[in-house]
Amino acid sequence: MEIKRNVLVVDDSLDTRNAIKSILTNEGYYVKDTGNPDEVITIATSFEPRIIILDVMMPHAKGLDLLKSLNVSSRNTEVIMMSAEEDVQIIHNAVNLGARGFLNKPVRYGELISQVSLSLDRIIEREKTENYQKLLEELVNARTKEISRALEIAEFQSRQIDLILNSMSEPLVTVDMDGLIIILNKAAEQVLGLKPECLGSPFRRCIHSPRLNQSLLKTITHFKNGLNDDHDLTLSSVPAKIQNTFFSVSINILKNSIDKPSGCVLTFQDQTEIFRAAQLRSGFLSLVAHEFRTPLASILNSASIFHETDIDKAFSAEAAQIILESTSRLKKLIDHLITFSNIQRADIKADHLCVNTRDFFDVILLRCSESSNKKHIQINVKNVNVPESIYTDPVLLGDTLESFIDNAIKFSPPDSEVEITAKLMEKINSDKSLSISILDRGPGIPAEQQSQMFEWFWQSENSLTRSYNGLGIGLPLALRAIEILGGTLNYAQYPLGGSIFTINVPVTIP
Amino acid sequence: MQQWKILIIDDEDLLIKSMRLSLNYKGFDTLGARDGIKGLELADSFHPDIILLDIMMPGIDGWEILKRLKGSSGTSRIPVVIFTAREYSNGTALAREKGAVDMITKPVDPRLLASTLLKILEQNNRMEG
Repeated sequence: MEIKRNVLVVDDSLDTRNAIKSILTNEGYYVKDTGNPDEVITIATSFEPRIIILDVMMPHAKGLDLLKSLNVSSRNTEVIMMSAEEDVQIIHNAVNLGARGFLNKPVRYGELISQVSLSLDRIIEREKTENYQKLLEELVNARTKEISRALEIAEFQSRQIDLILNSMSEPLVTVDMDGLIIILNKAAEQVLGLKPECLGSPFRRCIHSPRLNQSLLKTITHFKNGLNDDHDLTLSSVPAKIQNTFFSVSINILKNSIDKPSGCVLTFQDQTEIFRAAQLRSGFLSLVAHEFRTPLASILNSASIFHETDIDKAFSAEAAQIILESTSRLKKLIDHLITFSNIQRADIKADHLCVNTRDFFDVILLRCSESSNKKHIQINVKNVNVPESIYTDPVLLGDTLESFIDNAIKFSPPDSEVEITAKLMEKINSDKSLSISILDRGPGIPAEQQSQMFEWFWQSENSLTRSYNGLGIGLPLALRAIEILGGTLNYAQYPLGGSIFTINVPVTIP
Repeated sequence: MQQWKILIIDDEDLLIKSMRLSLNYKGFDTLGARDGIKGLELADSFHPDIILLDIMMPGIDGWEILKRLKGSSGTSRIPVVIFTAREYSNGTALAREKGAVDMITKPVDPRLLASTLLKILEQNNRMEG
């Protein structure tokens, strides 16, 4: 390490200064000198001497005072005191103030060189130690910073992972190679009903799904046997029913940093809706098939008699009538299915036209007349104050009304009446709506079933023994149509037996 | 040739009419019942040789009617064929388990139906005879 060999000599005697200067310069030191104690601080500041040789007995300011104001201990500077007398008190004081060397006056060559070089050695030594300490400190600081940063990152990551795991709506469970639960997210606690105590417990004791446990065991055994190379990491999903929910569980292998399997991650996807939809779909399809088969059977039976050579005219007329009726039933079924598929589109909008109300009701009654005549059911329309023309969607409203009237006829006992009451309602803000209620004298819908009746495919009795034909889509279809018209639907049981459906749709009057 | 008597129990009016039409042409004597209770009455009074029974009917369903037919001494020996529009995955086995002879899914070609019924009737006749 290169060190500046600056020496400042402070003495009131020019001779002494010159003598010291010449000796030290000769020895390779860079020397400045002054006889004026007032200059010492200024020179010391700019010259930065490593060693100051100071006469303690100067006339104007005492060397000791100067020593005090130099504050040598704070900088790596050595002060060598000079004095003609060996005053113990002065030496003691000087040492207390940070002086490290002492020269007797007159200064001898050897003593000066050795004192200065000792001081320089001490400076170098201190500098070394200091530097080493600084270096060490820096190293320690750097390491500490690194560690604390790493800790911060780890903590941050662990918090983030927790957040991510807990924000997942799908339950996630991780087990180790012994099948013990090691990680649970919030959803697993809530949806699967796993308690935090389950951590560390065997998975099979916490989740009661024999099929899933078997698959998990198989997976773990598979990887324990070291068969991981040929095995696809994502196993096919396992269906599992847990707490009345249908899940599709995917089991993924968890590998550690050296690529060894260390456990399994199980993610649970709720498939209840899909499962239910599939059940509904298959139920609906078999219902549709059933509804198609019955009229088809009638057509087939009736058509078969035309094979015979001697057909009675009355029989052939009856067969033709059956075929006609059955085909019209099939047509109605197809219309229903088309409406069903159309009305479920989200973008469907009402198409308002100016409608003549008398014609409108007449057409609907005509459409229902076949079934009403058959059961000798009288349909009475009571028009309270409906104007001659209104703006509404005649197709949506007409189909809806027809399906309610059809329903009413279907559930009415023979020779009874169905009453339709149409009223124009006016709100305070002069918005107008058309209220149409349909009353039948059928069995009515029991209170406990009223909440389900607008569900798709619902039937008033279970579909195996149901009393009435139909796909179970009439009511929800009608409700959807009324929604599209911006209206409401109400149901009430008629006190004397029967049902009252009331439709209320906004209309404008031309 | 013997004229076999067939009782058709089905809630579908059109189906009964059309069945009677086609089976009459095949030489059967037919009678229809629109519901199970009516069907049980006719099974007692009409003494059919065979019964075609629908499953999905209002009130009492076909399975229950079958049980009652089989449980009554007057009707227990009459062979019953389940005639349904519903698809069962193992219909014949299910029908036999419950005491019927067979299950036929609607619609069926009336010629095929007639020959199936004849086969059952003749077999039954031989066993009874």
